[in-house]
Amino acid sequence: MDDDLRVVGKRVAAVDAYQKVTGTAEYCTNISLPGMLVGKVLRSPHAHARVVKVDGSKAEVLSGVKAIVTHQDVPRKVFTYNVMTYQLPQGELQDMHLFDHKARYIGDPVAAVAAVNEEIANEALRLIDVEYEPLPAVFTVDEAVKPGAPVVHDFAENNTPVPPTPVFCYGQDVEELFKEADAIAEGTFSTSKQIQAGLEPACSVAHFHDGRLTVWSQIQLPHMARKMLAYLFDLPESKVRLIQPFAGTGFGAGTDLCCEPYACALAIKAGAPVKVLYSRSEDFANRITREHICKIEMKIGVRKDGAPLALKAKYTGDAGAYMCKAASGCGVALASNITEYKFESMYQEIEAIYTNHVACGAMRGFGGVQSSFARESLIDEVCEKIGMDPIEFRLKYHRNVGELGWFPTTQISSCGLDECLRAGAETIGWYEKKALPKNGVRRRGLGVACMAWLSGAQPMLLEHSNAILKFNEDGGCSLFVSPGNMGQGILGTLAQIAAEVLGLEYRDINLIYGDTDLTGFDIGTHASRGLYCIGRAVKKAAEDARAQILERASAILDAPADQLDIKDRKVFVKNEPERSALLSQISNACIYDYQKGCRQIVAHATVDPAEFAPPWQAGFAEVEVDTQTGVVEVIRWITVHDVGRAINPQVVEGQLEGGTAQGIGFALYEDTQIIHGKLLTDGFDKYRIPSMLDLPEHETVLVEQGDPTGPFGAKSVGESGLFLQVPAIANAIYDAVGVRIRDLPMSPERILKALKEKTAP
Amino acid sequence: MILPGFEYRKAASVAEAIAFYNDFQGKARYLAGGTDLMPLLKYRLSTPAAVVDLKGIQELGAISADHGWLTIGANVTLFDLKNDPVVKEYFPVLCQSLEATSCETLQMRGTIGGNLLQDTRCIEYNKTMEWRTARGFCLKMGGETCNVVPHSRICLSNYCSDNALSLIALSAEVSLAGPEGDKTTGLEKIFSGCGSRVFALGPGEILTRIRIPMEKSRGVYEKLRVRNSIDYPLAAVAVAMRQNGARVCVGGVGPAPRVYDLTGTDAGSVRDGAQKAYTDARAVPNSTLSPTYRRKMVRALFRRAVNKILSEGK
Repeated sequence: MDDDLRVVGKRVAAVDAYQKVTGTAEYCTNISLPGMLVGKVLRSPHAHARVVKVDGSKAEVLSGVKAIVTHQDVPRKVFTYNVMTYQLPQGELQDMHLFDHKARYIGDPVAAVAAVNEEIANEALRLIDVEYEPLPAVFTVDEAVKPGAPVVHDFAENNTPVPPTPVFCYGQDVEELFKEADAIAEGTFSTSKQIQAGLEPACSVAHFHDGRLTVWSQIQLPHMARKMLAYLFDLPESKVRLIQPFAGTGFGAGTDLCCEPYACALAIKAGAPVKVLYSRSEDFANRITREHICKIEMKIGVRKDGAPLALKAKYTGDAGAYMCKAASGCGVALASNITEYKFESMYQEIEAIYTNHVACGAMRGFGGVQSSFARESLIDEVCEKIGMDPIEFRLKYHRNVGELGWFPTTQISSCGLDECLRAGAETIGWYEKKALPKNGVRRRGLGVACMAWLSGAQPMLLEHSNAILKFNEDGGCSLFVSPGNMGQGILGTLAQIAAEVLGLEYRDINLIYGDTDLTGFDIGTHASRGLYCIGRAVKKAAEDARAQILERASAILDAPADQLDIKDRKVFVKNEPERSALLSQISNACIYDYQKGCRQIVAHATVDPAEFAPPWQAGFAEVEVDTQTGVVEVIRWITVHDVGRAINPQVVEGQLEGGTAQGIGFALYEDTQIIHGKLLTDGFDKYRIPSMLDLPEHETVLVEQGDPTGPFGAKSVGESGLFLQVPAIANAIYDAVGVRIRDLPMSPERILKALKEKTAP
Repeated sequence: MILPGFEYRKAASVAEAIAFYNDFQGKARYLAGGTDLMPLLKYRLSTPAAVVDLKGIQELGAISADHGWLTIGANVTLFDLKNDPVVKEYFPVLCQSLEATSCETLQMRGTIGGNLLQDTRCIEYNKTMEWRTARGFCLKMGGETCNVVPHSRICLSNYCSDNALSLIALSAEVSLAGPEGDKTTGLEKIFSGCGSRVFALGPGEILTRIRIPMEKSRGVYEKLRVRNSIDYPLAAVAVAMRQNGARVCVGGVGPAPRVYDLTGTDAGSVRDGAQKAYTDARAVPNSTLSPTYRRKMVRALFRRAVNKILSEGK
């Protein structure tokens, strides 16, 4: 690794840190525009009902009500919240209508109102007269596919828009290989419908003025959201402007639209700005959740020396009422199995089924979290069967550089998993602790799990990014980029890349972001792509700007450009450093050149990457299980992550530690309880996520060996943090008390039940 | 979520608070720390015409040890009580239950009086108005039947004070002042046993003080919750042991704590006591954990708590 770096690799404070800790950062929630109205959504109380009539006449005459919108006020168009549909040439299934004639889950929007204050808006909702014809509803995938089940969408036979479909299979017949296997492990795993649970509830502001629609949104994919909203309201894209202030939520929730269409419809009708802010309970019950892979059936077979033979799996998605990302979630679950181990053959299927639940979108670790649970649990099981240490297995049989990436035609560009496994085993004391006897009421155990994720979903999905750099006369510059900005620390990291290339300080880079009118096109933030993809665009633009600066400096310093270098805001001749010019001098001369040589330094770069640069990780858990109550306490957690290069180690650690909390929550207690389509756990008091005080002693170890394709060798880290808590904790529970838990959350009750079954004669 | 409109009065004495209560013909709620009342108001689970603030009543803010009692004013915060040297020395079970109450930030806000008089909780009750309207009102909201146990005529929502259990185990008494006069009674006697009207208090009565006999005790508080950092109990057991025996109080399951005086501390008595508590526990599906599991945990925590004290004493 090149250690001659001045800005990259340094622990600099996030660019937005000061604003955030002093409370001056602007979020959608605290945007206030002159004459802004309060928008509220009227929702179906029925899980499944025909909307026979919507009559707003009584609400309309209420003083203070400025607009009521129903299906009559919007163009009737098929659309989807899932704006990622634009990343595939054929798109993804679109099955929604704004205020449809049928409500398909409890909470499905039927109408919306805008009023001068919240009280009047709420009163107006009560005055809207809706006639429903309730229909029988269906809440499980097993019920939904039975003959005679209620039909959620007319076009989807058996409520099955995606029937069992094999994807990315390779090798020979897996059934033949299972016959050769010396050890087989199989099981059915279930997961809960995790809620992203951002601190900021869903919020959007819209303003329609002078024929242009401006939307403030928490979306992670601003340009594609603009495209969807333009389509929905019959406007050209250029007439729609999407602004993304800081978002107090994300974790994938921002890869789908949420309240934006309702804010827009109201703003267009009212002719005034409208803010739609969901209450906490409304947010939990109506913001589409993690891709809900409700069931994973998986089987693996290995030889007696551990050699992995075959993996067969089926992923069933409970799509809820609309498809959004149910099928793609299952698809990613499947793809993420390909890269980890050298299986000779794989056969995997996906299936997605409609029910009358809220739809599911995406959450951090999309699909991979679920498949890691199944795969890493079963690996642990076969290791026990053949008497092999789980770390030895992983060291011996993980894939390596040049082997299969997730997507056909892609290859692994770098791999630091060996170091991850070795460092983690040493830190947690794997071999010493494994040898300790297990007895007493509270028993300790250790577990390990591994994963290989991605740095953007190219070439499967379009991952187009642009970066623009513009130099001012003082030698400072503005960097125009458009990632989703939800607190992950990407902005400063991009500035570090530009500053490194340009010989500037981190703070010399002025960031312009979050506005589709100002920045170039960008897919935005999803699939851990931000640093890898946008970072490559920034590096490319910075290199172009650097070349322009050197060319200009060449004339001033009377030396060939290739003999010049930039450092500390100064351009100098490499072997005669005293021959130098200040960057400000050069930059100023580009702008104020009275000799007719004006040409401001502006650089633009586009990238559309095709390489597959997987970050690798090993996670280690030490747990203590109370055999009388079934309560699991995580004593220690260690994440060892191959990030290629940590551009800002502090940001990387922050990402991973946040992921640790989400992973432990998903493993042990985040539990979306729904009865008859109604969400019981609709607030932080019932849907419990770990607080800082609930976190165990945890450590993050970074492995940095550089990736040949990433900017300064960097790979992704965005989603990586929460993959391995579930399988490593499950494996540690087994190590402690000898029971395999295959349902999430691994609640005390489930553990106690498994313990009882184990001891039963 | 915004608060509904109400009149606000701040009382400087207990008598003034009762007078305010009478001014509003009883359509008033008393406010101390507010950690229980504020969410109820925001959810419209309580819609009083007036809120009478008790925080300004200085005389209810003291802890004193004399005449063989530790007397605690109702306005004393959970945090201050937890750090009181006498509580630490004499009543470890109370110290533990205070520590297990919510988080320190809320312990600094919440008062011991408010903690004891907190409303019961149910997964289908502590909800927004929209949610409850769509579901239909339950017994506790004035409806015809329970939403958790169809056809049930009694509300079994959970009483979630941690400290009531330890105080009852310590044989604490409470003083009540109301329009009809003052009285002192055993803490365990203020419960009605019905979740829709939790306390058997007269209209306008204010819990002014709590007193505990000044006798050193050994104690253990065991609490089942999902997160150790902040959650309400889903089952809990407090045990206080003094020279003349052990008193166990079980809570977090159902609308009132249950008291068990252990006659002996041999393995059989402990097992029988735990089994009785298990049989008595009326757990219903009104929390995020299943009733079967919570009942089992009543038994497990009962035995664990008592055995812990016994083993400490050895």
